[in-house]
Amino acid sequence: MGTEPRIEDRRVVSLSDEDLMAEAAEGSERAFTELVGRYRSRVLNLVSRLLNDREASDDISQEVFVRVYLHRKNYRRGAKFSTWLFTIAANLAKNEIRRRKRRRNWSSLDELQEQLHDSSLQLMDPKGNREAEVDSAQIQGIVGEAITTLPERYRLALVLRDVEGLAYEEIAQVLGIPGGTVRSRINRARLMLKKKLEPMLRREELT
Amino acid sequence: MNCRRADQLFSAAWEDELTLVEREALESHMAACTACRVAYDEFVRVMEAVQGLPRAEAAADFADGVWSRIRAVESSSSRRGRVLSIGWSWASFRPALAAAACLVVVGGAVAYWQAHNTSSQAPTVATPSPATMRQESLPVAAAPALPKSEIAKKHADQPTRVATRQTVEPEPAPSLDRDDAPMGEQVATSAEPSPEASMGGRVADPRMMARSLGAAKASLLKQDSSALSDTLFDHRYDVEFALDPVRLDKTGKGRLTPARPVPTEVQGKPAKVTF
Repeated sequence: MGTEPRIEDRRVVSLSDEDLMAEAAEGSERAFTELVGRYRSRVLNLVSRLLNDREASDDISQEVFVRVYLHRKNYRRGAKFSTWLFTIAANLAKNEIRRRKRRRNWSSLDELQEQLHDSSLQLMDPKGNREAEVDSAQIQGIVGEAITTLPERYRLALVLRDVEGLAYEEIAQVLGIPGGTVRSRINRARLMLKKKLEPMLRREELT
Repeated sequence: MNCRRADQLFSAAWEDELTLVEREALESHMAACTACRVAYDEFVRVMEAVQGLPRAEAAADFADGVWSRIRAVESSSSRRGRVLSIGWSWASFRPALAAAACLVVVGGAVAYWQAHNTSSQAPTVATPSPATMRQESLPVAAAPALPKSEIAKKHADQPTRVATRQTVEPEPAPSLDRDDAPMGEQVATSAEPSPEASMGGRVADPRMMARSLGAAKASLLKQDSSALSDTLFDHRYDVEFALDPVRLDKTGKGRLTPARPVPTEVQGKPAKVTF
């Protein structure tokens, strides 16, 4: 009795993403659950690096898989599943970034200016002594925050490449732009990020 | 190579994607430029920091959350589907409803038109069939409105009269343009039933019948023009022209010229009127 599900599990685990998606499109919940298991952390990581908000990232990541399931019939057999999945994830994250931007624009400009002032003070601590020394968790927090200050198009390209490690061609497909544009955007994003983090890097040199 | 160009090659250098020529050029530049060397060092540290960021891990019940959302969406969409199906059934009635509405509107308009037309043109419009139009036009035109059934009855009662009338050629009825009677008189004539009409359609003097027909035509035209003037035209801007009767003769070139010279006090300047 109990051997059949185990055999089925083993079969599903051995399938490629594309085969699983094909089975999910035909109504296999087990195949879809396997896909969720394979990609849940990658999607969550991508979204949380784009938003720097864990709670919202959980919500949006689940929504990504819901969209995948609801539009499973639209999946083209032969297309790379991860590219399709990351396209949906990137689009949902993009929507959220824009929604937040609109809300921030409407809420309070003063609040935003205050926030930016605090961040710059944090990055350019005038004391420059051991008391101001930042530990690795703080550095990671600052880097993560700095990524979210990049313009949306550069942020997406940088995160897809340097956080998720996607190939340039795949990023081009996810973002729907030419490969050359992807390269220039990524280089630009890295230089912008470096510029934002320079105060922290120079302070570290002193310590 | 300048510092700007060196900046642009940092990414390719970090990913080890430089061509040999680019690599040599960048290395020789950085050997000479301390700023670019420092900048590249910072670039590498930033990249290491980004790639060293901790990865977010999904909770164990992540898939359960996904499935519960899917179930919620599916149940709500099935509810919506039921609502839509009701909506669709309504939608399927739409053409029939539209047709019914059209019928009501058109029917109403026709009924109104008939009622209006009958009341306003009661003395003249008796709606005979086209075949009998010519035969009946003379006496009926001036007669008060009669129901169709009565007219048909009359036809049945007087079969010989029609034949007689076909043979009798009355004097040509004076056209409206050539009618000498003043318009007011004509209207007054048509307002009351004519003596011929009061005779119940009996054959009367053809001359009198023709005269009454002319009066009826004039009254119709008067009614129509007064209706038009009230609705279509704005007479505040009407201009009246008083024209002297001058006989025109055709010259050899086909142009019309006054038969006798127009007195100078009457002559005007040529004017172009545009509307």
